[in-house]
Parts: sequence; C-alpha cells; structure tokens
Amino acid sequence: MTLLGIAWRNIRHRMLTSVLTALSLALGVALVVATLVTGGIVQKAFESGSGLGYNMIVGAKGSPLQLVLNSVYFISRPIENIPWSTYQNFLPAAQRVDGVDGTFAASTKTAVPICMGDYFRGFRVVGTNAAMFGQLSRGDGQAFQFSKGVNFRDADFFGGVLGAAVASKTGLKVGDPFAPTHGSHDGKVHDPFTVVGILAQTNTPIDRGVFVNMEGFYLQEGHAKPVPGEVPNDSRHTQDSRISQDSRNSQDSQREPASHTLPAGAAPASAQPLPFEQREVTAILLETASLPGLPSELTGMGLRMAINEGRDAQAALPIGEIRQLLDLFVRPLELLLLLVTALVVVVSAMGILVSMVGSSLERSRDVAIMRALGARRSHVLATVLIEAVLLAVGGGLAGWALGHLFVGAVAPWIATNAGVSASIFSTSPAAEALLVPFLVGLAIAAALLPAVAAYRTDVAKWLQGPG
Amino acid sequence: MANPIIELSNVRKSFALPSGETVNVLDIERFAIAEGEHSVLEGQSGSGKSTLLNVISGIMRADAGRVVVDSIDLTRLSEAQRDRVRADKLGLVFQQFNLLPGFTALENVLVAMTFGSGRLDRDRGVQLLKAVGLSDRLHHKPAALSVGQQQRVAVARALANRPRVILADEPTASIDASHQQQVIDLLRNTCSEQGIALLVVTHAVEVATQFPSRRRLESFNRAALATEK
Repeated sequence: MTLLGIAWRNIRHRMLTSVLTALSLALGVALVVATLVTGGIVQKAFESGSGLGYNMIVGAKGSPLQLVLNSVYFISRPIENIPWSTYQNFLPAAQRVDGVDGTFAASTKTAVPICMGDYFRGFRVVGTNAAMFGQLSRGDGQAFQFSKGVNFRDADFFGGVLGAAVASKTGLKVGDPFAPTHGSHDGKVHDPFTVVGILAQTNTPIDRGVFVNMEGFYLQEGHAKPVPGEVPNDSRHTQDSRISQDSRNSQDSQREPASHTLPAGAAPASAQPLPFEQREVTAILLETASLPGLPSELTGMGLRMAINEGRDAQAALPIGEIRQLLDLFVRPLELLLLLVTALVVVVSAMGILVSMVGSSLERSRDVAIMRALGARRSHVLATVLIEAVLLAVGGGLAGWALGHLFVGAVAPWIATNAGVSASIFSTSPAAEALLVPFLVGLAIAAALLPAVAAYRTDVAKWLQGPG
Repeated sequence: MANPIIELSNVRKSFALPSGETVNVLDIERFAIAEGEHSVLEGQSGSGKSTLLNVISGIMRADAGRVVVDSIDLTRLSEAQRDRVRADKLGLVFQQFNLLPGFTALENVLVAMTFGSGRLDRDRGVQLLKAVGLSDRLHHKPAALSVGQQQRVAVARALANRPRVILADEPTASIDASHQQQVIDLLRNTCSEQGIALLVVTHAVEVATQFPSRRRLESFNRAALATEK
C-alpha cells in the first residue's frame, strides 16, 4: 500500500469532514474561476469592440469615452447630436449637393453616420446607411456576413438588419416587421420596419444592434429637427434632438433627397426623405485615409486635431479610449475582485487546516499505530501532506468545473448583454493553469501545522497500556 | 541459552518529571530472549513493562547500555533506522489491538507491509488472515469485527513482515475469558509454526502459567527493586 493509498483511506474514513472541507474549497475556487473567466470575457468584449473596421468616431463635444461607449458598445446615452453639415464635411464632391469636396474628405476613406435613441425589445436601434455593412469591415478585415437575407438598400427606407443576438433573442426572421419605440423601452411605438437581413455572429456589440435605414428612421415621429418658422407636420418633428439623424452612403442618397419607394407593407406608400436642414446625426464612424506623403497615423492625428479645434464636434479614438477605460476601471476592478476571491480561497484553504487540526486527536492515535508498525516520521509527515494535497486538488478541480458550469449557465445573459459568446468552455488559460499549483501550495502550507504535529507524535504515549 | 534474538545489557532508562525530578524506570543488567523462545514477562503496574517493550522495539532509545535485536544494536542506530528494524524484525500486538479504524482487515495487514523492506504482498495478507480464521472478514473494517476478530487481525498484522520476534503487550486484557485462550493459542501456535520468538507481557496469572518461561520484571530491573525498597 502506498502513502497515497493510506492518505486516501484516511480521507475516506473522515468522509464528512473531508467532503465539507473540499466543498468549501470548491466554492472558493468556483468563485475565482468565474471571476477570471468573466473578467476575460468583459475584456474581450471591449477589445473586440475596439477592433471594428473604423478608427475614429466623431460626435458631439463632451466625454470621448461616453461617445465611444454609446457608438461602439451601444451602452451609455448619446451626448448630443451634431449637424448634418458636419457629416458632409467628410464626403467627397461626388456625394455632396454642392459638388465640392468636404473639408475633411481627403483624409477620409469611409464615413458612416449613425443615429440613435430608439429601442426594440431592449436592444438599441441604430439608424445608418448601407455603407455600415457594405463598406466597413468587421475589424478583422473580413466583410460582414449575413446568415439570412441581405443588407438593406439605401432606397428601402424601411429596411432593417438585425444583429445575431437580436435575431436569436427576438425570433424575428427575414420579412418580419418590427416597430421600434421612441426614446426608451416603453416610448411611443414608431412605424414598422421590415427585416431584410440577419447578420452572422461577430462576437462584437454589433450582435446586439438593430440597424435600420436612416431614411426611414428620420421619417419617424419626433426624429426631425425643428426648423425655425416651419410648422412641423404630424409625422416628422419633435423637440428631442437627441434622437435622430441621417445619411446615406451611395452617391444618390447623399445628394438632395428624392422620392423613394417603400417596401410593400411598410409605412406610408409615398414617403419623402427628410430635408437636410432637418437632419442631425449622433455620431460618424470614420475610417481615415492617408494623405499623399503622410503615414496614416499622422493623417489621423491631424484630422483629429482639426476636428477637436472646431466648435461643433469632437473626434475620439476608440482603441485609446477603451485602453484607458480598461486601465482605469476594468483592470483595477478585476484586480480587486480577484483579491477578494483569492481571500475566499485562502479562507477555504484554512478549512483544510481547521479540518486537520480538528481531527488531530484521532490522527495522533493512527500516527502512533503506524509508527509502531515501522513508519518513519517522514512517512507520517508525507501522509498528512498528501491528504491535504488530495483535498486541495479534489476541491480545486470540483471548483474549477463548478466555475465553468456557472459561466456556462450565465453565458446566454453575457451573450445578450455584452455581445460576446461565452460558454462552459470559455477559459482564462494562463490564470487557470496557475490555480491548481497555487492551491496545492496553499494546502501544503495549511497542512504544515498538523503535519508537524503528526511528525512529533509521541508514539509511546498514544500506545501506552497499563504497566 | 540458544542464540539470543533479543539481548539487553546494562540498559538504563529514566524520565524527567515536570517538577525536574528524574525517575529511573529501567536499570537492567541483562535480559535476553532466545530464538524461538516463548516467554512471559510479569510485573506490577508501573514496573516498567511497557517501557521495556518500547526500548526493545526501538520506539524509545535507552539512556545507556546495549539493546540488540537479531544482532543489530539499536542503540547505535538513528530513529529512522530503528523504525526500519521494528518494521522488519518485530511484530507488535497491543492490548487495545490498535487497528487503524479507516482500514479494512486486509488493509491493516497491508499497511504493516508498506513500512517493511519486503514487497507488498496482497496474497500473503490474505493468507495471514485466512490462517487466523478471518477469510470471510477480509474487507470488514474494525468496527464491524468482534473483539476476538480484531485481536486476530492484530496478530495477522504482527506477522506481516515475517518478524523474528513478536512482542505482545497485555494481548488478552481487553477481551473476555472465553476469547483469551483463543488469542494465546493463536499467538503460541503461529509463533511455533514459524519459529518466531514470543514475548508476552501480562499480569494475568492464568495466561502466565501457560508459558514455560516466566520472568518477573521486578526480579531483574534494579530500578523497580529500588522503588520497592
């Protein structure tokens, strides 16, 4: 019989105590694993967002972080809207009514406007144009893929595209109508759009977005900017300048609006596009270009400075903002959470110590018997330490599995709210690989006291009979 | 006397009391057990019987003198070396049986083999238990065995490493009269069959009278004599 076998039988003999000790350790480890994995998922969520197919966001003056959180992650609230003319500054002559290049056209490769403020069943509705999925990439250089249907056309005022998580959660299919609500989850119900496409999963916040043609978005009640002296009609106006905007990417959609035909069954049959002077945008997603003779970084830096010096808008770099957010808030918070959970594990490991010290009387007799049978002090020391390691490894592995089960259980919630696919198999490999060795070390440290007590057991005293 | 398997000469052992006073427990000029000898050691309570067994088995180290077991002088060995001699040369049977409660009868025998020099021989463990009449109790834990059965497991365990001597400390003190004879017979018969020397410590006259060689500790332990005076 090996020392391992002896230690295992000792554990079995004190089954209830052993199970409770291992269980307390398992719960601590489960907490650590869940924290590590979900922390990794949160980080991945932000980092995946910062890798979208654009490198700059232009929006209203205010917090650049708020601008990024709202535009990239669809969380937080829009700061304000910016004028339509600001958007036009990024358009080339061919896309402008006046036939002149916009101020920043030379530094711009792609400019996609977004308008926010509406919701559909808890998901953000984003008014944009077809360039969103036609010209921007997913960030990994790959074009957006549609699992069902196609991108909406700029001419389809009431066409919409759903992110993968939205489609999964709402059960909407291509051809289904859906009606956003104005300003909040329980706001006034707008005219319906029609699903024309469902995006393939991207594991980015895009999965949580409802994207509609901004021409239709502008035509909803409350989405038109009031023009002084003009009496708003009942289908296009409002005081809420936070909610609206437009754009279009195709050449014809950037010129003066013309009549468009609506898809069958969607909204008014003879809708006219909203005049430019009544339009605003929430933000512009920019993919910058390189000016001749300049590296793209310098072009972007110059563009950003020029925008920020103006009065109307600010330019934010998503990657920089996200890094700052991670460094300032997420990582310290994660570290704090890890410290707390590490303390839980340490306390759980103390359970091993308490359990072993608690059974030391019984153990002393067993140790004395083994010593009388010829066991050396090193044998009993090793047996106690092996017992502690077995409890630590057993509790640790059970906790590891429990932690992943927990992550698996909350995975649907994470996917819906963070736009990142999480599963029972989501891991934080480096940290998890250190967990069991750390636990074993901790268990050995905790078991040293009872092990030394066993080592020093007075055999004669414990075996003494009368005489 | 035939070749001694155990030989003590000029052995002294004393203990310091918490008060600082020293109490002499053993002062033995000579004590020996021959190979294959069956002997009983009698003595009053407190006469040093258990201390003598602890010194012979190497659990305690003598303060002075020589303790030789199968030609090995224990007083020259480290504690770990004495542990090894105890595992290989001696079999111990206790008054309280001292079986490991979390282990089955067979596992209690195998544990003893774990600490010996020989290989772990499961078949031998089974054979030993069969020899003491426990073939149908191999996988029972001590709590599921009767008192007599537990003592038989203890005897089987003492034989696990083919010892040269079995030291039995009051082996019948915790069992009823009907089982006492069984245990003594088992010890004597087994030791006779295997040529093992047997030293039984007891204060039970009915046990002592069955042994051809009876020693009274007070008769050769000068420390005990001094206490009596």
